[in-house]
Amino acid sequence: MSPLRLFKDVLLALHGGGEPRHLAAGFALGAALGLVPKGNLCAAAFFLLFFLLNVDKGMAFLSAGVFTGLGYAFDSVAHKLGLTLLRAEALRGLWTALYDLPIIPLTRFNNTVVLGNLILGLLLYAPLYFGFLKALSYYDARVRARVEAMPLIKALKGFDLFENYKRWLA
Amino acid sequence: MIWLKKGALVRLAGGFAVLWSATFLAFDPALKWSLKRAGRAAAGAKVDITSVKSKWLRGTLEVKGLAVADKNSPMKNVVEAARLGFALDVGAALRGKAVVREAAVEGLRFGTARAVSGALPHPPPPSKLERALEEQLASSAAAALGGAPDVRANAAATIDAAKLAGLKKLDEVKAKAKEIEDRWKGKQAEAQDIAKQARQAADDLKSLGGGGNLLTKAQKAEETRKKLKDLVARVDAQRAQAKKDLAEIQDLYKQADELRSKDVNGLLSAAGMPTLDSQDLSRRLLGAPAAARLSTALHWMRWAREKAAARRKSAASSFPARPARRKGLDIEFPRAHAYPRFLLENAKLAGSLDQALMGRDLAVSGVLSGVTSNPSLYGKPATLALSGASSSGESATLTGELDQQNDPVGIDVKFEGAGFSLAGASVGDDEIGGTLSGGQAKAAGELRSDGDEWRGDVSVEASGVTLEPKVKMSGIAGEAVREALKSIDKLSVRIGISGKESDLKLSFSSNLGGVLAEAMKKAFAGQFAARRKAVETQISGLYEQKLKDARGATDGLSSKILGPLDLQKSVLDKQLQDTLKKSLGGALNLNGLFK
Repeated sequence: MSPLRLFKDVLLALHGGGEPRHLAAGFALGAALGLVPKGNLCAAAFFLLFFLLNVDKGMAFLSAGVFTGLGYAFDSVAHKLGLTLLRAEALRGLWTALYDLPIIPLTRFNNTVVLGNLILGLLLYAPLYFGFLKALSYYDARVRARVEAMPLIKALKGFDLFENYKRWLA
Repeated sequence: MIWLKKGALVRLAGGFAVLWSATFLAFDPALKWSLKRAGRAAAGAKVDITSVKSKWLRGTLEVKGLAVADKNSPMKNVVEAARLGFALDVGAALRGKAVVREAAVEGLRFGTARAVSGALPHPPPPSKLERALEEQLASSAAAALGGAPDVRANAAATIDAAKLAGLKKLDEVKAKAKEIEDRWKGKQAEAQDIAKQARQAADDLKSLGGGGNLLTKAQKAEETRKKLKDLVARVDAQRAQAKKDLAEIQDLYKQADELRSKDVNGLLSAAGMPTLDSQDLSRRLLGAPAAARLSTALHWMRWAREKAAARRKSAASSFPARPARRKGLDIEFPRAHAYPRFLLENAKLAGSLDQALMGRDLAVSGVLSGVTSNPSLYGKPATLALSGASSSGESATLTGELDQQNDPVGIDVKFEGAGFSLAGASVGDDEIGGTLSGGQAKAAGELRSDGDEWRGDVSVEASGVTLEPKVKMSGIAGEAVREALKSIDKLSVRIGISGKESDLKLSFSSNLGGVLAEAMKKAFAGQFAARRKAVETQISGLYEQKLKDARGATDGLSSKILGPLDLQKSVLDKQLQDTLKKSLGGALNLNGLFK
């Protein structure tokens, strides 16, 4: 999947071709993948979910890219959250059982930053999903018309190039 | 809305294929890159690896062509291995653990030459330990001989009392004595409290003498006994502290005395006159090669100890230090008898010491075991044993033990070797030194570190030595040095290391330094003797005055502090004995008991 194709997917979706809920789900799922450090089974599982679920992949990858950068800012919070959960006496039995299973430890759930970010990603899923839906409806209602009326966009529309671009999008 | 797409499973399989091929193609290069990076961080020099090949289903890992450069001699490798093979426990690997049941390291070679420099473009700054070693050797480089051949006998040493380290140390003694005295004055309240309680106990003891209930008396005697024992313990603690304080002062006196001779040598050296000190000469002749080898050995010992200590601390601490960004902290949840996240159970080592033995081949073999990421869980030390012997008489043994489960983590390395040829080895520097063309040596030593406290002793004895002198000095001095070096037919070197990294002490003694110093003294007999004596007399004058002041401050200190405490202790001991007698019935009226 090329980055150009992903960009095209996002543009198509934003220009009315995509289902808003797919876009929002892609955004929220991408955020979860972006936050979790890579190189473990947990990140791979999120990656596979993009293919498995009916979410907008373009938006999902775009969001993953943005949230990978934001992950650095959440690092300290994620570490503290992960450490608190991993040190919690009440959860010790659960972690010990999971740690002893095959495959599961490869998710690196026992790493403070991985667990912290995974929890953050899951906690943020619903707010990001509904927040994105709301932002999208706001964009459609208030911003979209103004953006399309911008001289630059109009000028772009005047070019043959834009027609070609529209054909390419279609 | 349907969340699971039509044909999603086919796409999922496609996703799997993408993920698998990316992992399959990138794993070995990524592992090679990680190993090189980790190796560079540890060695402080380049680490080369020819290839890394992993076989997941078989659970094997093979590393070929490993070469770790020596940061102190970048054109040499500390160690080189032709092949490293690891057999991993696949079951443990599925649980995210690297448990190496067996490993083989083949083609080990030490001190091999490199085609390109192994220095890093931005090498890490020298550690505290390396800086301490450098400082220990730097001072003797020029001091021993100074500009002996060129200097005039009437060269004058300028004495600046403010710069004399020994005098400063005596000031320190005086200040310390005052600090101790003031501190003990502050403790008078406690002493009075002890005395008051002792008097109270004595009164209680007296009251036991009269009539009354026997049980109550016994209970009271027991209470008094306990009270007195507590008081004795308090006095003992004070006495121990007092003795420690007084010992500290004696130690400072000793240091001042050592610094005094260093001051004399320093002044002579500053005036261009030779100190002719055998220790300094030994350092100058043998210090550089010894320090290079010692520095490399200590660097790796320190690295192993620090890694183990960090792993131990991280596994044991409830509030570990904040880890590096995006790295997090792995917390293990082992069941009883579970494996740690990383364990190298047993690695067989095989190689040769050809480069280290001036080209003579000596096959060595050994075992490395117990290297782990969780020392507390593993509960055993990591050990290394390497030995070899040849038909021509050379033998070498090296054992190492990393007490990774202890706090502080300790590391101990012992080695022994015999029958080594010294042909081709060189001593000294461009100005004064030589090349050994014969001789057989035996070496033995032990280096130990507990936390940042180091101690160790290395000795080398060689016989049948032939030394070809290389001396740039001219005149009588040059001739004397040349003759002295030529006369050497046996060699003994002893290097001692002790102290903390912040205050590391390196002692050097060798017959080479002694022989050279004697020869030089004969050559310069009378030439510098008068000046040296003059400097020594001046320094002695300054010292005597300071010493008198310091003694004045410290002499009565022992009787002032320890005297009352000893007295208090003897009184309390006597009282305790009396109480014991009374609690046993000695002073109690037991007549009524048998009526």
